Amino acid sequence: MPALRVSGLEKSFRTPRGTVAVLSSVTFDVEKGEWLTCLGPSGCGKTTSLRVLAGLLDPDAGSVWLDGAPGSRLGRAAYLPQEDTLLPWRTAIQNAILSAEIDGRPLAAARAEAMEMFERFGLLGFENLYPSQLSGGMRQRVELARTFLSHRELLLLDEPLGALDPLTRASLQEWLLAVWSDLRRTVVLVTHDVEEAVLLSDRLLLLTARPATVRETVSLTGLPRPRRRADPAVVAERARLLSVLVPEVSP
Amino acid sequence: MIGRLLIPTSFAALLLGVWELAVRSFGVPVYILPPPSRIAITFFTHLPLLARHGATTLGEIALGLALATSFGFLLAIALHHSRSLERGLRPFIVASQMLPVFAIAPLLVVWLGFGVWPKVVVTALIGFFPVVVSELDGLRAASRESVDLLLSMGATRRQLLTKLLLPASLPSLFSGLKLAATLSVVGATIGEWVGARRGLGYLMLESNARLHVDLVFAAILMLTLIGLLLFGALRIIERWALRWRDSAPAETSRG
Repeated sequence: MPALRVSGLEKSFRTPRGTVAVLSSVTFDVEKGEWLTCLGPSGCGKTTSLRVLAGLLDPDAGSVWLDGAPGSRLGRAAYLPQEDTLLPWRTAIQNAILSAEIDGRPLAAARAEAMEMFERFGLLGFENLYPSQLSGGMRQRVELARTFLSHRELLLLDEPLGALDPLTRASLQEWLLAVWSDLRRTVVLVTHDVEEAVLLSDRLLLLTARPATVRETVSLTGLPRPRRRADPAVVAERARLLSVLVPEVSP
Repeated sequence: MIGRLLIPTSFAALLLGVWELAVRSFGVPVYILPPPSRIAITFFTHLPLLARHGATTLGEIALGLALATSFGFLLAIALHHSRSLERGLRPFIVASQMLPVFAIAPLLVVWLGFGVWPKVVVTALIGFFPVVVSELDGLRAASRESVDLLLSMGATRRQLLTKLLLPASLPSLFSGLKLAATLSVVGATIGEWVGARRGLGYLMLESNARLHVDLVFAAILMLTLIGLLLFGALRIIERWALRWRDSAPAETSRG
């Protein structure tokens, strides 16, 4: 039984200039513990599909099954939106345990768990600072810590590293890979960074331009882990994917 | 800090000096316009009297402001929750501000007597509008993404309100509160003008009728001090409640 089964998703939005189809018969499965990345051109509907998966949007047609059951998905997956969503009036650790508070879990235990996570995430000593006092890379790590601390099996990550400068981004990619190998959650990542996708994923979904539909599924389980961005196999795969995707980006 | 105070202080000194000089050199009678030195002397010699009446006025302001804040705050939450309630009530809330409070103040005396309540109600009526409007705006301040985040965590409507919408509304609410505090001084004074036996507004009318213009000015000075005190107290509460906003970035902290 797959952790997530998505079949025949359709979604369109009504705008003043007419109806825009965003998703068209999107179908895929994600196995438990698998890292699946949706790769596609900007504005192709990746964020919309994640919001549907998180339960924030209802599809016009199609179904999403989480752990083999349909129904409401709110509160059942950990969603990391693309924009900075740290609450500015909460310190780093208070942000990290937000999900525990919503769940009504005991806070002392949640704090202790968060402190362990902060140690692993290199955030120790920063737990009582407000987001405005943290650098962009640290804020992103707090957001990821919050996502991992949610006790949800499925993580939905919407370009979590998109807003960072290339150097911070590169170091966070490797770090994220290490954290994920330790913690092993089911991940659906959305990105337009081909290298990031190749470095991190077990499997790729290549999406078409709007309306997004799955054009090709690429299995990367053949690439041995841990991967380095300079590995010849990683470089070759990245080049191959770019050549497939580029005509799509600039028609 | 000293530099920041220097300009307003010297400006005030200049203004008072010109006033003092003009009144003395033109021989303006004290019952028309007393010189600042006379007002200062009156202020200090009548301090117990001013403090007694000031306490009454401050009490009315505090009560009126508390009423305006709690009522305005709750109403804003209710309006935010219910679209139809907002559609139905918003025109009346706006219209209530077009209503000259001066006009209904005498009615309030008829309905509520000469005690403290008509003043409290006038103060509350004036202060309530900025609180509702600022809180209503503030409740919309949270980004769609952070709302999405909490909903995706499975937050209930109540959790969404207490953990996101209310904290996000605080900066806006404080702007409204500071405005309400400033207006509330006017409200209490108006309330006292139309019928009172105590309070700075009453003292001003009384002294004016007896041509004790220096005492009128001393009462105005006391009212100003009360207004500044309220404003300052709110600033301190605001700084504390919004301390996350003033915190300097750790990596780029200034010296």
